[in-house]
Amino acid sequence: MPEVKTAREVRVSPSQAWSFVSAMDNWAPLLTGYVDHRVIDDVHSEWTVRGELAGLSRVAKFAVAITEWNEPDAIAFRLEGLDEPFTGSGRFAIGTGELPDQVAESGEPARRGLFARLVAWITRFLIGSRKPDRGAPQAPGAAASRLSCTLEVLAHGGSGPMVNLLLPGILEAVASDTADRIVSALEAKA
Amino acid sequence: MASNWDFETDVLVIGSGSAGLAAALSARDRGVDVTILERSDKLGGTSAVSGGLPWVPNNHHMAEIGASDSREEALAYLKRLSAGKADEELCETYVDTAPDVIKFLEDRTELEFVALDIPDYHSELEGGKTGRSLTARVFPAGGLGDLRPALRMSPHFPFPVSLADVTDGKVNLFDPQVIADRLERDLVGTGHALMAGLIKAANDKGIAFRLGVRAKRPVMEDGVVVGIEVEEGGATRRYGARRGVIIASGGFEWNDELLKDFVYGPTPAPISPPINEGDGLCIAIDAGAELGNMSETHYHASMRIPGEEYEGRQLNRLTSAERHSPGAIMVNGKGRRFVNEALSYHDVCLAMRTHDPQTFEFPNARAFVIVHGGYLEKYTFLTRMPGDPVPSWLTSAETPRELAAKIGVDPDGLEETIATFNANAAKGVDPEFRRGTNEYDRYYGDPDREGAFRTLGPLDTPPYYACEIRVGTIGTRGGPRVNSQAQVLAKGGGIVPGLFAAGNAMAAFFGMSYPGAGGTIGPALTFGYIAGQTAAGGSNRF
Ligand SMILES: Cc1cc2nc3c(=O)[nH]c(=O)nc-3n(C[C@H](O)[C@H](O)[C@H](O)COP(=O)(O)OP(=O)(O)OC[C@H]3O[C@@H](n4cnc5c(N)ncnc54)[C@H](O)[C@@H]3O)c2cc1C
Repeated sequence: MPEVKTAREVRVSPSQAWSFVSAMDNWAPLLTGYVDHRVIDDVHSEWTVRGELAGLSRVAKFAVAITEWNEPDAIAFRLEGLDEPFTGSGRFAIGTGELPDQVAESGEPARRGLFARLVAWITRFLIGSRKPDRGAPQAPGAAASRLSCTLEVLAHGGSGPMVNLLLPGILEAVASDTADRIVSALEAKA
Repeated sequence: MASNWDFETDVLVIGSGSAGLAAALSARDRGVDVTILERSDKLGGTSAVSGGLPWVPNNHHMAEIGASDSREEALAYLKRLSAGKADEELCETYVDTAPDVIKFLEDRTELEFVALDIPDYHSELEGGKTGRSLTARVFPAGGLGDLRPALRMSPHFPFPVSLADVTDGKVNLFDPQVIADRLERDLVGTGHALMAGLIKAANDKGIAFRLGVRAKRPVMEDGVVVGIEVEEGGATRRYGARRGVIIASGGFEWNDELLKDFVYGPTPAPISPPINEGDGLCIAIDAGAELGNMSETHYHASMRIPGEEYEGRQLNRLTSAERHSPGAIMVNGKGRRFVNEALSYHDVCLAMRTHDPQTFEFPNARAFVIVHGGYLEKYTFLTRMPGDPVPSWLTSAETPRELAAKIGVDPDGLEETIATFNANAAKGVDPEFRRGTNEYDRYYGDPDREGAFRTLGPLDTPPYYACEIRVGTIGTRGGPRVNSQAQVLAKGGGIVPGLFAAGNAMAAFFGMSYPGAGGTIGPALTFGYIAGQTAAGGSNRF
């Protein structure tokens, strides 16, 4: 299943990070391509986002259900396309300490096998050979929390196998940009 | 002579589509300095997002698929389709030159062309053939180096596939691993392949690309075009062209005013990227050009998926399976069929543009494709593949009457139409519109079926579905008239010295017809090539 993992250090306490992430309305508008969301109850919500690839953008609606609520450090959720055939899941985790080496160094998603090669291709396709701008490195010791996010999405149906080829690049951009925005918003609030 | 140039070159080409690149390559081949101006930040124009097929009568690849052709047959075919409106001299120039252009491109670029077995759109008429449509094989776009990110990508053909793969039959294009490997190797297909091959060759040969530069007005001295005033980075600049300016800036399909003024009938929805606004046409008018073929466009019946945008504008999609497959029909507001749906995308639109002087309406301009459950099980519908959930942009109902009510179509009409169509389709006939009688009607139908059944089949499995289909265009084709050297003709007679035109920016010479797959890129490459050659061979003006 196409999957991205991204992690960021953030200069706020874990409890501040939790109170921000645990209230969906705080970060929903920071999601790349966000159009709107509707909270149905404590567990369920419906989202509309606009996804873009090489000039083409398309609106996708999906339902989100919270599957794990571990205050103060983890929220997991499941998602399902309403108009398009895809399913997926994701997890926000808040911790302390160093970022895992690979993620901390590159800020890029874990890459494996076929999808790793595809991520490389899509990145080239979208942004050429430039490295994505991750902003200025943070001063050592300044981080107080570690925010990590995992997102996996699988397209089904007749078009699934082909769409899955394009998904890693899209997910990478979404996860990475959203994480950057959440960090900025959190630090601005602190 | 004019001075104070911000930039000077020998041949200035406006637009980086197929016409512009062919012009640039042929001019450069004659040893002159060439610069291409491109208004957007992407190279390749509509040509890059297209299928990339050129239609080239009598091309040397036809023999490889066992087809034959002749100058006489090609000209007879074009004449037959012209309804008396074709420019016969330019048709001759085209038929005589286009095969050499393909050889030139194969020689000077890394592109390889293959003949396809797509029949001409009226292969049943005199001179009609199979094998005139060519395609480039997939191309390694990584070779573009720094220009790679600037290659315009297509919302229509996102995967690295060439129709040559289908002809070769050697790879399974439904295998994700095959596609993944090609993506990884940065291979591109369709129009991307054509344009990547042309752009790479141009870059290798020292042709300069200037992106984000929009040509606006001709700079003239003593009636001669010697340069172009451009908008660049918010400033107005002057680009001097010692030997000539070639307008290859595409059509005016994204300019509502020009469409309203010149194109008859329902305003066509543009399927091209939102970059062609008729700037070349305005430059030609300013320079005193004579215009031609202004009321015609290359039509393509199109459909929309709500919420889909390309560069911020609603994307209009191509249609094929939705009209050619069994179990699909098109109806107007009265619920009546009005055309053989399996005709070419262009010819279907000619029927959609019919005017009824009695009611003073275009009764077929608001039309719907109607399919049934059996269709969705087997065939694609826009981006929906068999097995995908039914998207909300397809209106559905259990009966034709209910469906008609939902889409605002006459229920009696739709019910009767489906009943009549079904009775005939079950026998493999269409007495009303003769769908399925021509080779082309069947070409894009269901390959698992035989004869007319490839395209004919009843709509008999509820639910029924509808999606609006509208008159669309892949590009306008009116503009400055040119002679057989691609020199722009002047209003009062003679030529506008120093000005050339090619591609959708020039007055097309086929009149209202669209002869076969590749009917716009074939002429764009050919007249681009001729324009480059003539401009480079002209005298140095300053
Ligand atoms: C989805 C699709 C599929 C198609 N498939 C086929 C096919 O297989 N075969 C075929 O024959 N035809 C096909 N067509 C039609 C074909 O693509 C066009 O008719 C053809 O590409 C036009 O070529 P061109 O060089 O004239 O213009 P374009 O390729 O559109 O290039 C014009 C360029 O000029 C630039 N420009 C515009 N104004 C200015 C200015 N003021 N200054 C500088 N630059 C400017 C534009 O940005 C653009 O890059 C298809 C079209 C579409 C949309």
